Amino acid sequence: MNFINWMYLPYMLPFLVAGIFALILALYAWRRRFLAGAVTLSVMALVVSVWVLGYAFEIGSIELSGKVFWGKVQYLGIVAAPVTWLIFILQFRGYTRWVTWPRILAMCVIPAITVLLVWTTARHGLMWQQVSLDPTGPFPALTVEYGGWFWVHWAYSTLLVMLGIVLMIDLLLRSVHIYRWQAGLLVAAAFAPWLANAVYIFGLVPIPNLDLTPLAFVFTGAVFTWSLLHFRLLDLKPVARRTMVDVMSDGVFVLDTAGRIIDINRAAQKIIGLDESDAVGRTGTGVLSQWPQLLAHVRKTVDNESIEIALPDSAGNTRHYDVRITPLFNNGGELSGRIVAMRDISDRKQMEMALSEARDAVVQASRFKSELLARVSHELRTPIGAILGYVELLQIGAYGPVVADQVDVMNKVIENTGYLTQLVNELLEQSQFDEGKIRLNPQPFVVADLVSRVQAKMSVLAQAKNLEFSTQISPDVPTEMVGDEIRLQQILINLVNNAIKFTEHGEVALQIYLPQPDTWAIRVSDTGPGISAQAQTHIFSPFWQVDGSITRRHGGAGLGLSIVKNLVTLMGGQIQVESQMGQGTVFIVTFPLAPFLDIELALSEISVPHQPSI
Amino acid sequence: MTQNLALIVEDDPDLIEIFSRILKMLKFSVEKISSGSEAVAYLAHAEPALILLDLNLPEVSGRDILYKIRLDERLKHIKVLLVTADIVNVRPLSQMADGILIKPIGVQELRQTINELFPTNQDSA
Repeated sequence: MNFINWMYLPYMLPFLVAGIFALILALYAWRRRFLAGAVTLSVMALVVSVWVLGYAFEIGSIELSGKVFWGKVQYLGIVAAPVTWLIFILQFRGYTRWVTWPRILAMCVIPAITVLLVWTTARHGLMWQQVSLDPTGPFPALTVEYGGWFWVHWAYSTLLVMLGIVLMIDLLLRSVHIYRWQAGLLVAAAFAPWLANAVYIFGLVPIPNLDLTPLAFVFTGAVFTWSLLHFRLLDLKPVARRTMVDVMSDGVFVLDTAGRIIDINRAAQKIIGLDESDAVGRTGTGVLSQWPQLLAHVRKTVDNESIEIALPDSAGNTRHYDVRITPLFNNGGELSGRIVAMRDISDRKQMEMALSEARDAVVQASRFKSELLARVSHELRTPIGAILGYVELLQIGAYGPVVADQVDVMNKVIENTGYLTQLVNELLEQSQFDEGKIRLNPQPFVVADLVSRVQAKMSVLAQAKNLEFSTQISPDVPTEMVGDEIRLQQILINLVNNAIKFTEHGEVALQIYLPQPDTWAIRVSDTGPGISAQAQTHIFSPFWQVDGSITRRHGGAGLGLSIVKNLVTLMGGQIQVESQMGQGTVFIVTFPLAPFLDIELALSEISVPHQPSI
Repeated sequence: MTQNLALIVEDDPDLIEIFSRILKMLKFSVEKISSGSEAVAYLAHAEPALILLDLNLPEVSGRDILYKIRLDERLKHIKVLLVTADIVNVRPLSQMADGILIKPIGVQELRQTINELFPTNQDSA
């Protein structure tokens, strides 16, 4: 076996070094196989190393049979190098969809036949017709006369290499300025093996019989590996997108299915606290270990998902992130990785929290106010009751005889106790409305009874001021209607009481009528001073008073009309005021005519059989 | 039923005094009780003709006492006037009571109400 019978020659050295270098490249690229194209590059470096080392041993072999053996070994690399080269360029150009296993196998048919034929060439001479030793050069070289298939192989390999070069030149012409020199370097690297091979084939080598093609391939592989690792070769195409992703304020990183970070932008580097070179290739588990919540979500995500998480930053402050996880699928539909985008929403979150707190505070303050009003009103009733009771008992002589002057004083006490009671009532009512606690209790009621009760209560006040107080119910008003009688009485008394309070001469009139068939109305008119147009816009607001002095004299907290308006609204009615200064005032309250009648009407309609048309 | 016996169930001593004065003017004999549980104990053996019942009472509420009275065959005919400062919670009880008086209650108002319930008891004042 002569192939192990070889000697060291200085010409072997560059090829041995290049071969070992190519092996290291193959290993280096393989360990970074998570980067797109790295596997192809690794295979390419491996086959080139076979070629280069085979050639080194061919040079070193003393005898022809040894040289022939190593010559045949080289072909394993020679035929595979152009194939891997083209596949790499195709991937590099983004034609990954085109690179399928059936196509790769098809591309390997001619190389496989070539390898088969070169190992059996002694029988048929299709590759090498004749082999001999050429002792004329600085070392005894293997010289061959090529057979017919060799030229098929040569044409095929050249075609693949040329295709790759054309694709690279095309890229060079299209590439963005800043990446042009890089593309140019890659084109030059691509030309190297082709040039070296041409030089060898046409016998232009300075050192006779020395084939520099494998060396050129090693150079190509080295340039490509360097580019791949330093420039993200395969990311050349989406330059704009890349730049955008890198400068955006949202953190973005990509994990492969093994959980390794394969890409990360600047913002994400900042969030995670690692440089790109430190982060890429590391597992997400390692880098994100302090954020188990995020990891858990990333792991289980197979569909677009958006979550909000809180993470501590380097200073230990809690930051809030809106994390969007997008799964990536390869062309076969398999999950191949995940994009994780993190938006810092701490500021928004803080604002939301502040708003929410402010709102809570307002709600709480309002509730406290309502509770306070209700409690104060409740607690005041008992002592006011005691004052009123004792004074009235005194007045009727229950504790002994009283003189006329004392009776007058007692009347004033009773009168003021009445105002105090009204104030307490109004405060309670208002707080009930504020809390939405007012519930209506609609029942059928007799309209005339309601009006006569109001008349009985109010005529005393009117008489005391020498005012005429009249009530009138239109004949078309139903005898019975449905409504909350107590609340309706409250509305009537409030309006009439107001009218009497502010009128010094003339009359106050209460009228119940139907302005429309489906509407009933309360009309309270007076001959008082009237309300200015400007004041009319305020009179239904709580705590608003027409005139402080009048109101103080007459009691009340300025809540009467506000409460009336609230009640009317609650009952589904409307209230309006018509007034001009010096012309008196008219309040008109309208309600939909209660469903009481509608139900009867509806029932009667149902019971009437449909009239057949004539 | 004990004719002309009125029970005041109220925890404010001043109101007890005022109510009892008025009831006496109306020729009632008056029993005064200031807690719900005492009222329940009292009603176990007595049948007043009229009860002035405060709703907000210690221990047993006036509402519970009203229910007891209305569900008891022996007591359910007693006239009950609810006396309360609680406008909101008293309304649902209006069907069960013979009258509702919202504090502050005037002497005239109370006298008139009782006169309507007991037309035969003539006012002495």
